[in-house]
Amino acid sequence: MPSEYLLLLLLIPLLFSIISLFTGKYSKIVSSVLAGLFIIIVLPFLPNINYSILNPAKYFGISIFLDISYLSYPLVLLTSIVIFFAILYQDGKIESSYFSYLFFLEFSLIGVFISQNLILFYIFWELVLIPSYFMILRWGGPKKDYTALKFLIYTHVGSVLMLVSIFILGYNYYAMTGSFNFNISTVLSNQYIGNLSSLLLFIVMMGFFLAFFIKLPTFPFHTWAPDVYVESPTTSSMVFSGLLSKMGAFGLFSIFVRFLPFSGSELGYLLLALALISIVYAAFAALAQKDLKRLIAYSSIGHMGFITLAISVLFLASPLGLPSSDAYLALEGGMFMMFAHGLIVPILFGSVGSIERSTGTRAIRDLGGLTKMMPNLAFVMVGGFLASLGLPGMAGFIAEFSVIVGSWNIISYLAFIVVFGLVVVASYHIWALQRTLFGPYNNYLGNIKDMLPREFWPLIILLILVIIVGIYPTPIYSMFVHYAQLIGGM
Amino acid sequence: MISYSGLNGFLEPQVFAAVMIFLLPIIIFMFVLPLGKKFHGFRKYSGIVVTTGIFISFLLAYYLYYTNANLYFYSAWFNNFTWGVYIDPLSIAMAMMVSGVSFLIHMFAIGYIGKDPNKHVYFAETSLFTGGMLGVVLSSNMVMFFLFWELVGLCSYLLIGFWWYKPNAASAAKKAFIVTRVGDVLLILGLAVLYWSFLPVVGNNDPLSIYNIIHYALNVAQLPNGQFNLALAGALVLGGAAGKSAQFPLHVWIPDAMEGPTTVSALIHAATMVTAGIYLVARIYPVYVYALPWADYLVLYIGAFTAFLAGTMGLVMNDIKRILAYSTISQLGYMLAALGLGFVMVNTIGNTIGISIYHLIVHAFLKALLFLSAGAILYALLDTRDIRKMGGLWKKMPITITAMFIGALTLVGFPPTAGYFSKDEIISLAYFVYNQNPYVLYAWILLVIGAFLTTLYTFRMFFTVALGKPKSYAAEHAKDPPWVMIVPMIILSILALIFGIFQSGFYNYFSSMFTGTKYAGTVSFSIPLYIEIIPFLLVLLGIYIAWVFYGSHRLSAEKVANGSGALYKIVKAKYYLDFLFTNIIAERIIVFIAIVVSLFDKYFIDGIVNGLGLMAKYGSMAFRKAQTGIVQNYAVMVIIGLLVFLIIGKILGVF
Repeated sequence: MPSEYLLLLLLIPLLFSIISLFTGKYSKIVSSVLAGLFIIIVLPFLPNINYSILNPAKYFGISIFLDISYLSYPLVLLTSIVIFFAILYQDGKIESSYFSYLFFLEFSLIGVFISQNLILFYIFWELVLIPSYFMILRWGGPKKDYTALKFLIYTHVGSVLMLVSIFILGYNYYAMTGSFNFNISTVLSNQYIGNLSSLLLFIVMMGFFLAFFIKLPTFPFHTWAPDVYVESPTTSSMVFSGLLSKMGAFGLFSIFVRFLPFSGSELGYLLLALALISIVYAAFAALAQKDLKRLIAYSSIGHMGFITLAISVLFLASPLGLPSSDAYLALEGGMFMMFAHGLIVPILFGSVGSIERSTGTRAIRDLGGLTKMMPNLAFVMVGGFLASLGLPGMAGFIAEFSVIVGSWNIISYLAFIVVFGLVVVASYHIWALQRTLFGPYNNYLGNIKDMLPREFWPLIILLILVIIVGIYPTPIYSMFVHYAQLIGGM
Repeated sequence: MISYSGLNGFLEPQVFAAVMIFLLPIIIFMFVLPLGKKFHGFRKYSGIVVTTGIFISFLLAYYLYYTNANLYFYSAWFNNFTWGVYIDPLSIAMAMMVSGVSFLIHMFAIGYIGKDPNKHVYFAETSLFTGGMLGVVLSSNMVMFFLFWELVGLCSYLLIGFWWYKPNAASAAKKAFIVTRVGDVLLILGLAVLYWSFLPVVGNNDPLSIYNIIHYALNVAQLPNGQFNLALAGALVLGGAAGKSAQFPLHVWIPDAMEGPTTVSALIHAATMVTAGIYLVARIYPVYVYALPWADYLVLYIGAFTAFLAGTMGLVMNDIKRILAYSTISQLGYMLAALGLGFVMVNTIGNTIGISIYHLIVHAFLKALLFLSAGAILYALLDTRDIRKMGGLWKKMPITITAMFIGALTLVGFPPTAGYFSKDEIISLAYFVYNQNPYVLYAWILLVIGAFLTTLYTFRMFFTVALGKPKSYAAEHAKDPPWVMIVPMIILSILALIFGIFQSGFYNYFSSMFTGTKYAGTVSFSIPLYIEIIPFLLVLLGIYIAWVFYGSHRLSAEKVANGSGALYKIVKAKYYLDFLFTNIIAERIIVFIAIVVSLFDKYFIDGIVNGLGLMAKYGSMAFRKAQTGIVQNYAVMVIIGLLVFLIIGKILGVF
């Protein structure tokens, strides 16, 4: 796919962002149509195997090097899908600038996913913060000031360190060739990384490590996530949890894996420890939550643990003398987790948003027996929760199964910790369902209304998508198979 | 065995029929649920639609049997996994049993669930339940198998919680899901071990295909560590089977699952769900055959011990459905033990899979019969489940209680019912294997005692329910249910009575599974007559003792209970296993850890983050003092700064 078209793909959401500012009371309808249109525009941008184009297009003297790889296509598609359903879910009464922010977020996210130049990557990475920050600040909950600032500073600290790493890499290239270049496939190739002194290599890796694992988020850098997801309005929670965490995962699979030839097994064990702790720790933390939204936030952190696990398997395989093809299954699972989680978690936040809208509370102890008054909600929420706990036939299972089976060869009995976490995960999901939906109806809630059509239909279609992807994952999965082989060949 | 693959293979009549067997009930589910929600008039037809669909599945399964299908169809799925169907005598027999018994239970449910306003939900879910189970028995790949396996688990969760507004039902559904989930994650690990064991042998040709597992287990065993890996995989898979098939120590969910509608219990206990675990172990039998022996003994003794343990608990229950539930656990133990016997003494494997599955099918008939008659009693007695409030029902509802009597006789294995041919065969086989292998002695003893306990609790229940005087108002006014509920009971009674005549034909049919392998043919085993009649004598003794206590009331059961003191208390408390799992592990330990973790997260991890934030804030306050806003101050600062830089530069030798 020529770079020019990709630039167009990138700029269309930016254009939409401007258009939606001027749509007034029709903003929701117009935005939905535009976002739906964008999914159709994205579909034909299929990746091809030669993704390192040697002559990037130049615009106004800047080399804007864009490409869509087997890793970024599913994520671009996911972005367009999640934004579309989030807009459908959103109450149309909100100011039109909200939709503008959503499109701007889409623009920056797609920029992150298709940039092949580190500077460009960094710019888009930081651009994501701007709409997110304002969305929290303007439409957030009671603790929005604290949360917006925490989010901004926390993720920014990681990004700044990444910028240092990028400069070191660029300077390293300059020192070797006498010219500047920030293309990912060039400055991060073995030839140039290998030239770094061990201290600089460590600093560079740390910079990326922090940026990506804060964004993912992984224990112990996760505490911004529950605050942000809880304080944001429902639609923003759907988008943030569905897409923002995928930036970190994307960075891990596209940039961090390139350090594989230069890492010892220590890094692998560190990653493994973070992954196992994340999975089990998040499961226990979720079990104790009293607020449904916080519970989902922690479940999200747990799912991201599977991505860390997949990466750790890769980083353990080669130092242990195993072929990196042994890590493919886990890697594919980890990448599939990005896609699956991105589809599933909006359903969860969406159902909780409906509960909050109709009952006025998210506290689990104040709910109970909601099925009586909200049968549609019960259907969607049970579906979403089952998908989240990794029920086969739904997208999340394919990811978890691949990661667990794929990791056995390398982490062997430590996999028991993972599956122990899975039992706790199933427990808190099922327990939360029992306390909110089943049992006798809590009459203090009064005569409440079921989900509105604008809430029900987007979520049910997402749920159907989750099931389709869970039963027939092949089209998406095969892209990750290709990409895993690319990583192995690096 | 013929292999097919790809689209052309899919269009083969036998392959297409096999796929439709499980797909049809699932498609019906997808239509019944939204149609019933949208059109209230449709709801009363939902039962008929679903029942017809399952009958068609049965006909398709019969077609496979009739045409002697023996095939393996596969098609690409994700990564190196395939999906498809694996059809051999084992899967055909299971598919016919599942669809046939499920059909009869559905027919009964048309009458039983008829008044519930949400019956379309019920029938849609049971259709999915049956479709899932049919998928389990027909799958050709372990990942696909696991998908259906969990679909069955999901449906049981939804159906146990069908009356979700009852707190007990909601809590029982949760327990069933989580306990079986423990088994399921072990099964995932089992599949992981199988994947990496078979990968070197079959390459990217789908290491988790059932065809490959069956045909290449020997090659895997010859690899270094191969036998150990197979044993490990076998033990982990057994964990999954124990969760689904309610074997010790994961049996705790079944008695609580009785909170669902009785027809759901009948489905779970007879046609779907609990037999899946037995099927799983039988399906991948070569894994155990070539594994290190400890995995085989594990299968045998988990089965035999469960058969005994559940029997003791069945003795002290008063809830009619819970008695039946413990009896299911116990009988599943027999099936697992039968498989274990085959694994321990490998040359009997040609017999044992047939013997085990024969008992599975006989048990499906009799347990469906018992649950349906219990359902008819509950239907008449307005959901009174305590047997002490029944009594004298034989006179009030003669057809139902006669059906129950036939079910009870079959369950205890009274000749010439089918149960005699199935259960005594397992006990005889255990003695035969013990003659060759002394380690099997205790299994034989446990199984014999189990047979005695079975008789005792079955007839304790039966005499209390059927004889004496009615002990409640509802029992005095009970009557037989409508014909739509009676017909399935009569059909099942006939099957339970006459199925014994198919015994040898069934064993021959099963041994054809092994044609072309070194296990072809069956081992004829004979044991002394005085050993062979021990179970039968114990049955007679058990019926007599039950009669003395609960039929004629010549002796008082309460006195025995009180006299046995602590022992009775322990059994009555279900050996404190439920207490350990629910009250100690789940509610104390897990919840305690969760609270500690969440506090740690809130005050320590986030505390550090906020602390760093505050440090930055107060640190900046110190620097803020420098921002005086007076230009002269800034000018002084600039000059000082420049000087400092110059001095540093001079020292370092930059200039």
